[in-house]
Amino acid sequence: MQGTMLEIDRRVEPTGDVVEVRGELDLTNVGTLEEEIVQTKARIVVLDLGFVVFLDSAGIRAIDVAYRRLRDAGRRLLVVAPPDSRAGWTFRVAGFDAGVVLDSVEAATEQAAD
Amino acid sequence: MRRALTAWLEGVDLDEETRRDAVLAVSEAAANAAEHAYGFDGSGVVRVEALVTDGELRLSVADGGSWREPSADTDRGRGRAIMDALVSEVTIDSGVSGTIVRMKVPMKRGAPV
Repeated sequence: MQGTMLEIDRRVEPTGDVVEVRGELDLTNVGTLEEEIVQTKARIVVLDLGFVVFLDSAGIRAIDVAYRRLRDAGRRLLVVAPPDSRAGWTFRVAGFDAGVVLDSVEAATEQAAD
Repeated sequence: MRRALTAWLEGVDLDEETRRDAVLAVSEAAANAAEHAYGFDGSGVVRVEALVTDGELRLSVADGGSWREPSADTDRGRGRAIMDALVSEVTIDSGVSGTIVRMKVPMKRGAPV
């Protein structure tokens, strides 16, 4: 099967680590994303899905697992998917309430400060 | 599989939303086949068919195994919820030779010429 294109970049911000994902997330590469998230060090991690062009239930599942693993370690994952992004659309179609997924990295930063 | 389906759909007079809905719905059905269908059948072939007719896009995903209805709080359950949200009709025929998932995706803007 042809590889699925995925790019994951990490950067450190004052409020925490930001994991920025570009490309397609599916069964073939969700494990990679889960590990990238968990291997961050900051207490607060922002997952920026704004540049994701494909997301399905396998991706949602992996993000959920990463969220729980961070929570169990006393850390926090904030998921960002702008409303007009593919990832935001997939979360809506999958029935997620608005509020679970944040609209922007700025909104996540504000929430991190709470 | 997504690339081939997307490429085919781009040759059809559909709006972008319908294409996007179709690709995700088919992906979810194919993922279900990959996870549940091939217990003892080693061939692992999933056949995807797409047809535009009567102003609707009809899709079918066929495998050699059996469909297992997932519980709602699993990722397959979410996959089923996604499919239900995207398509106007889902029928699942599971028989001796395998399972066919048929879906109809409403076309958002008119029928093609």
